[in-house]
Amino acid sequence: MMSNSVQCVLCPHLCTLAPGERGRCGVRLNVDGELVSLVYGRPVAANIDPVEKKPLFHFMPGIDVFSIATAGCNLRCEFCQNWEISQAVPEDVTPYDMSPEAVIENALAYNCQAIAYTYTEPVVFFEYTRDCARLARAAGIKNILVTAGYINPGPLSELAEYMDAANVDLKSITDTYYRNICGGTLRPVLDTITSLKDSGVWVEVTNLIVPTLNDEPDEIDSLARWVLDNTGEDTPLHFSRFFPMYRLTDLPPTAIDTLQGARERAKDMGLHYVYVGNAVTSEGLITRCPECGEILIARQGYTIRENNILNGNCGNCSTPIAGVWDEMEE
Amino acid sequence: MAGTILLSFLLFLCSVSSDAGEEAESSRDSTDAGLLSLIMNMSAGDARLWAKPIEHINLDRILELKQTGLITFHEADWYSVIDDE
Repeated sequence: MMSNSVQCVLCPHLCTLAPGERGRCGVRLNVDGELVSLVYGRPVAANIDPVEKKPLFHFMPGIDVFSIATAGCNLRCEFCQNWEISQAVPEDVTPYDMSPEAVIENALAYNCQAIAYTYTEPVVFFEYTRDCARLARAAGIKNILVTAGYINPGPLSELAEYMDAANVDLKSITDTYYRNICGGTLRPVLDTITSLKDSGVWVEVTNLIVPTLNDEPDEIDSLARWVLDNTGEDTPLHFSRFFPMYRLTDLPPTAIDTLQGARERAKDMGLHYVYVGNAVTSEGLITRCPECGEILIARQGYTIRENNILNGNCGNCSTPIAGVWDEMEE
Repeated sequence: MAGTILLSFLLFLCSVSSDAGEEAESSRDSTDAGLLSLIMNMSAGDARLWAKPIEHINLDRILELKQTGLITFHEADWYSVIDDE
């Protein structure tokens, strides 16, 4: 006998839904035994951003990226910087009507070389992301996934087929933090990072350092060590500054010294490219050649001030620099 | 953690109830069944107590919004229908 209940297997929550119930993401609803997406073709944000804002520092520097997001997220991070839309349900926001075809038309009209699925959590608008990405690939536009990585392997593999680059938010290296602060678990996120890397997607990792919650040097070092050991010395790691937001308005912004210390230790550990985001620091936005130490790319905010990478190599010593530097290289 | 503590407390209540001696049999059975049912329900959902809740929605409102085009009913992938048998 069928009860018309369904189990969503998109993400590790594996929500079992009776008719009329929606998943923890808030955007996938059981309608009489059929799971439907409430947000397909209904983005609540559509902007043109520099690729550096994602952040991606080793993927076609300086390009404009058509960036879209629908409502919803499968996590509930207490520090969420986009909580007004990520923690919203579709009936509480006013979306655009934008089919995948319209997304591609917009990207082309605004001379964007890539489309980013970002701001909230593209995993929860999986079908929209995949269909846009498929059309974008056919149109010669790159695809960028900006995600917390809380997704099951099957759907991830389907998305990865169309993705060119990803920034995965590794919020902590402890499962306790994921459960208590984010409403998720750690292991699937780690698996996502390695799986994307293995799929040939260009991957960068971001870690938001939140005072008192995940700012202990030992914890930060463990996270950097995991990135180094599991993705290699050339994976860019971005330490990002926390600002009081959403449910954590009682905490101060991350101290600059904490961010700089994290960066220096991660570099000493062996990671070649470690950055500091959301903060003004002397070296945090600079890419240096791991061989000769010369400046390769200097940034001011999201703007490229200097680019000394020639055909993917250091302009000074010709060492190959990891990344995707222009279309001709692919 | 809170779920585990609550579950332990309910299990403790169950054991106290079972040891209560001479109280009316039917009442105790009813209490035990209620507690057991509560524990069973809690256990079923316990794995995700730390996550956002699953919500039952007002389908009438959702259907209204669908009519206006503010939301869609686009067939999702990656799910299975549960066969109770």
